Order: sequence, then structure tokens, then C-alpha cells
Amino acid sequence: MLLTQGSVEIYERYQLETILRVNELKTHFDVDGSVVRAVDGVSFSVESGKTLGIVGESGCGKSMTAYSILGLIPQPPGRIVGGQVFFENVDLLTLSPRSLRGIRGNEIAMIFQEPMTSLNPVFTIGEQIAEAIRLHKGFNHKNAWRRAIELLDLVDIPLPEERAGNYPHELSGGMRQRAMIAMAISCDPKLLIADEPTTALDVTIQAQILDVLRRLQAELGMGLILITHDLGVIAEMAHSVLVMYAGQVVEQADVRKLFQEPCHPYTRGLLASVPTMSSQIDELLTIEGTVPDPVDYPNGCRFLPRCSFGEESCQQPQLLAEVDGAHLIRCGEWQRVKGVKVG
Amino acid sequence: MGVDRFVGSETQPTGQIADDVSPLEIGESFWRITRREFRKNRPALFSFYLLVGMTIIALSADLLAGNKPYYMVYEGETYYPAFRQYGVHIGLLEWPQELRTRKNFKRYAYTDAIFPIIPYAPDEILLSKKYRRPGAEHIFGTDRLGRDVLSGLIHGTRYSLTIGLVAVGISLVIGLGLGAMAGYIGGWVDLFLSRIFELWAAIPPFFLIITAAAFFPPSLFWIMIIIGFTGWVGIARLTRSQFLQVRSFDYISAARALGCSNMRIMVIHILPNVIAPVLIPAAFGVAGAILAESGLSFLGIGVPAEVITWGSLLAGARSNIAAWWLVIVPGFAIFITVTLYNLLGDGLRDALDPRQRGNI
Repeated sequence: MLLTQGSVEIYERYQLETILRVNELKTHFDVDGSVVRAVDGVSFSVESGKTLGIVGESGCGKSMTAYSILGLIPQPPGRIVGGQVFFENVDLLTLSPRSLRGIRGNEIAMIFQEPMTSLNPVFTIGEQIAEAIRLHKGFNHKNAWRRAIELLDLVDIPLPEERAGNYPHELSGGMRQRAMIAMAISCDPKLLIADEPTTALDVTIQAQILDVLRRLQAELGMGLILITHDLGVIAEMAHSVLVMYAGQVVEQADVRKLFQEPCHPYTRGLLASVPTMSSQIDELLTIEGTVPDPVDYPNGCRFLPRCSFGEESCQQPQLLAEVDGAHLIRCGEWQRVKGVKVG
Repeated sequence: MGVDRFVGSETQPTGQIADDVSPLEIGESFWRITRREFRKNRPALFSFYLLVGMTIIALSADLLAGNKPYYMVYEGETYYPAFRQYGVHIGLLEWPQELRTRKNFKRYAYTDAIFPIIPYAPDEILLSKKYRRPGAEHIFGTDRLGRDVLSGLIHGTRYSLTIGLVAVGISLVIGLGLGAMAGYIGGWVDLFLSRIFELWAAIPPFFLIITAAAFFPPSLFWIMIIIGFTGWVGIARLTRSQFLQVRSFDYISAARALGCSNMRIMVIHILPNVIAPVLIPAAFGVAGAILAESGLSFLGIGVPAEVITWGSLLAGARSNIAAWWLVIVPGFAIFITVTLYNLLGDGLRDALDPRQRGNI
């Protein structure tokens, strides 16, 4: 298979090399005269061959972080007001639109949430995959088409020659998401951003899609940013995890550490609201309340209105502090929180 | 792996069909569905075939009516002037020296010739035969200069169709271009262009055309330009709204994430998705352009006097009300053609409207 040739070599060469470093990224939206701080000082890095999971509930800025990296924020109303996004030591935020287009799809690719709507209805999936290849690799029509069929085969689509000629509406959700993945990896990207790639699919298909992603990551040695609100997906896929709340990172840790010793009340709340095989409970726990209005975040800890550990000191702005090796927590009371049993 | 083989379910029934798949037949493209839906609409299909027939008449007008014979023997030489004139029209051929003296080939002292069924050119003046009633010799009669009305009608098909299609083509280029810019770029560009659309739409089109026609020499070329330049607002507004809608779809974000330029997204990714609904006002626009040209020629500010269009035939009735055939014949031709284009537009609208069938 063309794509896998030398991929072990690539994997070794790029392994543990930081390919993306996001530093204090701030993306704001101007909505009706007020400012929505969608992404408010987010920092992280991604290494090649590794998966970073970003988790959080809807509206916490997960997707906007991904969109900001690729410069896909609609401007206006959005604007990136601060921070840097270093991709292979180049700040993407300072690049011209033209140079950025050369990176999008080529070096950094993205998979979207809704496979139903992220494929253009008037083109066959083969044409759509071939377009990316032609655009970045300068293949002619015939070779790009051949490559598109190889890619469909690589993402486990049966009868790829025939499926390449199908229109998106003729395929099931799982097939479309596979086609999206084929499109995303068509130019051997160094980084793949998957924005809730399995949310719209049912559970058996989810597992297959995750399998495909994991296999491709191992074969191509690419870094993966996996955005999801499904902690099961995180546990299965991620190496390190970023928990986001109200535009900020509230906890960051190695995946093992995060599940074993969650220290932020929000992370604990998320974990407690997932049913486990062993627990015998009638009612699942929930985190009371909703995410605060993004126009008017509280001055202190943004989770305070929903937090059961609230203290006087929580009225002060909380900083993301390194507590134990590579474990970052935005909570002053974390030691007290850690002492209490989850659930 | 590969449990979700929906497409494979024809050969190996799984007993379960994903509910996200539209009820349409598998394996059909958008245009094939549209074609099938269009075929169901009898009047529209009938109009389409009649318009194809009319186009054939327009193309073969010189063979149906004219004073150039199919075959002619003159001074011992054999000529095929009816066919040769097509080459002469487009500038590929020239008339031989000996056939340049007369335009009306009936006046050559030929030894043998076969003339078209209607052996009169539309601009062939026979003052001795003016205002002839419809009859065996002139099926639809003659006008005040003795010109055959049927011949004028057949040749007028060319002008009507050309004006309709070219004027709408101009409108489409302007409307799609400005509408796409307004809808895709948005912001102050949209604000500015939308005001221009409103301003333009506020002027009654026919008066705009008349005013513009006063500034330009009467010619077919200028008429097409003027009608085209005045009729784009509807298309532009529709295009704008379509672009506004489609640009927020996920597959446009996906195209941007793939590294496509804005121009590429507009032309390759959005345009094919919005072109279908834009074709509906375009079909009505052809009808409108034909009416506008007829109106202008009737008022005498359209095409120059020597060009016979349906509108100028109709204008001939102004000087003699008694010549009823000069009203009925071209009037009916205009009415039929405009109706056919409107029926075609209706059929397109029904076939392209996704609400009339399952979602695509």
C-alpha cells in the first residue's frame, strides 16, 4: 500500500517531537455589543504519534480552540486577540492567508462532527478526496482518483472503487465519517484534529471509527487532537487530557492520572456522571446548574456557582498551577477536593 | 470491520436500514432525480420539447423560408445557395462573383432551381403585394411593404431566442457574480451591494430599458446588453440568499479546512449547490426578455427598421388596424413562447424544490 510505505520510519522520526504548541490562545467573539470570551488563555502542546484529548461540555470552547488553530474562525464576529500557535516553530497566527491554506489540509487536517453535513452533496466522495490530493500534491485527475480509492480502502470502506463514485447521501453515517477521515489523511498530515468525530454515530460504529483513527495514527505517526465530551472515548484513545470549562483549561494531566486522581471539582463531576459496570446506583449523578453566560463570566473561579467545594478564596481568580509533575489544576482547593471520594 | 455496509444491504439484507438515509433510490445523483421529477410534469416536459423544436426552426430558418434556392442551375453552373448562405453568414464563405448582383435569387435567369417551401426572404419587399390577406400564396399574409409575415415569423424566432438567451446570460453573469460576493463575503460588502440591489429593483425595468435604449443606437446587440443589464436584480438577490445559507454549512468549513481558497470555495463548492434554484428565475427571465424586446420593437426603439422581429412585425399593425393578421400572428407567437418559458420555469421549480420530495 502506497501510504504505508516508510511510515514506520516516519513514525520513528517524528515520535515525541512536539509538532504543535499553543500558547495563551485567546479567541473572542463580538456579539451584540458584548464580548464572548470563547477561548480564554488556552495553552497546550501535541507530540507526533500522541493523542491529546480535549474534553468538556457544550459551549466550553473546545471546538473554537480547534477552529482558531486552523484560522477557521469567522472574522468578524470572531477575532483572535492573543497568543501564539506554533506549528513546527512557525506561528500560524502570523501567516498570510495563502501560506495558511498551504498548511490546512496538507499539514494539519480536520475531521468534523457531522458526517451528514460535512461532505458536499453535489460531488461524489471520490471527487472530494481527490480534490484535496490535487490541491496540495499536484496529482493529475487520474492519479488523484486512484489515490482516493487507496485511501477509501485504508479506512476500511468495502468495494472502494464503487463507493468512490457514490454521492454522500447514498452512504450511511459511518461510511461518510470514514470518507471524511480518508479526505483528512489524504495528504499525510502531521496533525489531525478530530472535532467530536463519533458524536453523531451510534456506538458500534463509534468503536470502528476510533479503531480506524488509532490504526492510522500508528501507521502515519501523526499527532491527534481529539475533541469530545465522551470520557469513554478519552479513556480509550488519549495519551494526555485537557479538561476545559468556560473557555479555560481547568485540569490537564496524563490520561491515567486524570482518571485515577481527578483533582478539579469539575473533572470529578464529569467522571461521577458516567455510569460504570461495577457501581450499583439507581440514579446517575449530574453537575447541577449550567455553564455561566459567556458574556459575563464570574471574576473568580468560573465553576464556583456549580461547585460543592466552594470557599471564600474561590472568589479570587484561579490560576492554572502545576501540582505534581505534569498535572495542571486550576483550583486552589484541590488538595481538599482530592481527599474526597469520587461519586 | 465494515458492519455498517448500508450499500451492501441489497445483496445481504441486514433487516435494518439506517434512518438517516433518504427514501430516494440509491445510486442517483441530484440531476438525475431532478430530471425524473421534471419528466413527471407533463406541461413542462411538453414546453421543453416545443422549445427544442423552436430552436430547430430558428437554426434552420434559412432552409424553411427564404429566396435562396436549395439547388440552382445558372448559366450552366450548379449552385446550392441555401446551404452556402450559412457559410456566408458566419464569414467562412463568400458568394461567387456572378451571384453578387442580386439579393433575391428568384430574379436570376436560372434554368432549374428548387426554392424553400416559403420562397420569400423576411425582408423581401414586394410593393405590388402589400397588405395581402392570409391565403394560399402568403399563408399569414403580407405587411405594408409586401413582406411575407410567415417568413418574418420564422426568422424572428432567431432573434427572439437569441435575445432571450443572451440577455439572460448577461443577467446570470452579473447576478451570480454580485450575489455571490454579497452573500459570501458579507459584512459591509453585503450591506453596500444589497442597497444597490434595492435601488436597482426600485426602478421599473421597462422604463429603465426605454431610457437606456434612447442613449444607444438601435441594434440587436445593444438591445441584448440593455435587457441583460437591467434584469439581473432578481437573480442577484436569490444568489445572495443561497450563498448566505450554504456558506454556513459544514462542508464549506470542511473545504476551508482542506485549504481551499475563497474563490475556489465560491466557484467549485458553493456554486453547484446554488445554481439549481437560480435557473428558475432565469427561465422566467428569458420570457421577460422576449417580451421586453417585443415591447421595444413595437414602440420603434428596439431593433433597426430593416430587422424583422416579432415585435417589429407587431408594430406594422399600428399603421393599419384592418390588417388583423399583423396583430394575431406575431402576437400569438410571442404569447406561445412566453407561456412555454414560464411553464418550463414552473416545471424546473417543482422539480428542484426539495420540499416536494424527500430531503437530499
